[in-house]
Amino acid sequence: MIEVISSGYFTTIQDSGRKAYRHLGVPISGPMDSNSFYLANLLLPGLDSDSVFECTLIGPKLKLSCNSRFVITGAKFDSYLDDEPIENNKVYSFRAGQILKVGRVKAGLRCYLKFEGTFNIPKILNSKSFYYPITKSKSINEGEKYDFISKTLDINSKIINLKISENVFSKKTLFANCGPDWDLLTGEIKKQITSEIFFIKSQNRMGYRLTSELKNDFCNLSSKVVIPGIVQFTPGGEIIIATADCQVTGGYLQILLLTNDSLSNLVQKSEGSEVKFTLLDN
Amino acid sequence: MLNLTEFYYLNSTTITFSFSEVKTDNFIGLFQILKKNSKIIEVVATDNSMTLFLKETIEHDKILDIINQSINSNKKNDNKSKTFYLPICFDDSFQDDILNHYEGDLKLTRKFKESFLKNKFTLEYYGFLPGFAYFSGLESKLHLPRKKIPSSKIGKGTVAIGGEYVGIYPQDSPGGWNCIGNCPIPLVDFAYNLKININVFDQVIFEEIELENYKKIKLDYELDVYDFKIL
Repeated sequence: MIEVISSGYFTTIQDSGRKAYRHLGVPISGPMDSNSFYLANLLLPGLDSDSVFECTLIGPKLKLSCNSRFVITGAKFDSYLDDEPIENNKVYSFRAGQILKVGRVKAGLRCYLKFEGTFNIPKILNSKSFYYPITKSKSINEGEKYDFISKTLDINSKIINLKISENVFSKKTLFANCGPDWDLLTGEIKKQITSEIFFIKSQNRMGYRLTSELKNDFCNLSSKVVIPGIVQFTPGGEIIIATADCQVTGGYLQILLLTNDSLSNLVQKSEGSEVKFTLLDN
Repeated sequence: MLNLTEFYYLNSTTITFSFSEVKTDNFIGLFQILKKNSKIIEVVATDNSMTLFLKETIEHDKILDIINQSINSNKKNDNKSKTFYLPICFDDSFQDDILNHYEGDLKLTRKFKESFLKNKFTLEYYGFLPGFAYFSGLESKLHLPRKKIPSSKIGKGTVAIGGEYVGIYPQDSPGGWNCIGNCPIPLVDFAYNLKININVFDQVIFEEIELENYKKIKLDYELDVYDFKIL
C-alpha cells in the first residue's frame, strides 16, 4: 500500500494508454515523456503496461507500507527516501514505513516514479491512465491509498545504474518530419517556421502552445486524426503541439510531426522555454 | 468507385488516406469492413479521410491490397446503420444561442428550431471530447459559424451547431459552438461498462420534448429502462 501524504502539483497514474477508443473520441493518454516512461520499465523490468506515477513540477510525498523497489526517471527532482537523497535512473529498495518525498523539479518538468509492480486500480477502457472524466480522478489526492501489487522477482538482482546527461532537457532543437499539410504553406512561412525561435506560452497534458506572429489563410479545413507530436498551425497564427491527452481529431493545419525523441524532449520544458524546429530530410 | 487521393504515414503503424469524394455508401462500407480486419486496431473516419491504426507495420503494397479487397467485397454493402429519434428539450433553463443570434426574437428563434427538427442527421465521427459526436445533414440556411470567443462552459447534453455540423456535448466543457437545446441521454456511455448507444453512420432525427419528459427520460436512462426510439 502507498499512502499519499501530499499530492504534489499534478501527479497522475499512467500506463501505456488506451489505444482502441479513438473512434469514440477518447484520447490515448499514457505518459507525456514516453522515453522516460519506457526507461523506468527497462530499469525495473515488468510489463510494458505497468502503471507509474507521472509527477509534474512538484512531486508527491508518499508513505510506503510494504517492502519493494522503485526508480525515478525523466526530470530531475529534489527527492529523498527518508533522509537519503535519491538519484535518477537508479533502483532503490525500501522497507515498509519509509517515506518517499519527491520534491521540486531541478531540471526538466516531469518525472516517472515506478514501483516494482503495478497499481491495483480498475482499468477503464483497458487502461489505468488518468483522464478525467473517463476516470474519476484528474490527479492523485492527499489521503488516498493506492494498493500496489508487488511483482518483485529477484530482490538481490544487480542494481542497474545508468547515467543520462541532464542537459538533454535544455536542448532547444525539435526534430520533425513534414506533416500532412506542410506543402500547403508558402515558402516564406516554411522558412520562418524552421528558422525562428518560439517560446512556450502554455502547456498541459493536452498540448503545448507556442507564441508566434505568423498567419495563415486557412480557416475551415476538414478534420483529420491528430496524434501526439503533430504540430498544428491555427488561423490565428498559434502553434499547438499535440501531446498525450490531445483531441483525437482536429481541423487545424498539421504542418509538422515531431520525432518521438523530440516529443519526449519537448514535454520536459516549461512555460517560457525556447524551441526551434529542424526539418529532417526524408 | 472510391477515389483514393493520398496516403500519409503519421508513423509506421498509423496511416491516413483521403478521398476525392466524400461519404458515399462506398466510404461507409469500406469503414465497416476495415473495422473488422484483424490487422487493424481501429479505424477513425473523419470528414474525407480515414486513419488506420495497425497492430504492427505492414508493407505499403499489402495495405493497398487490404483496402482494395475491402472495396471489392463491399459490393453487397451491408450497411447496418439505424435511424434514431433523439429527444431534445428547448426549455428556457438550457443555454440558447439561437435566441441570442436573433437578438431575443422569439418568433424567429422558434422558426429556426422548427426547421432544425425537420433535418435528418448522420453521425460522421466522434472527436473533440470522449463521446462528442459530429453530425452532418444540417441544411445550409441553419449553418452558424463557431463563436470567435468560446463560451467558458457549455453544459452536458447540449446540442449545438458549429458551422455545418451539429454536435452534442457529452460533458461540461468550454466550447465555441452555438447551443440550441439539450438531449437527456448520452450517445456513448462511459459511466459503467462501455455502451455505444449510437454508432458512426447511424442517423438521427431530433424530437422535441418538454422539460417534464426530459427529466423522466433522464431518470429512465439512469435506471436502465429507457428504450431508444428507432425508425
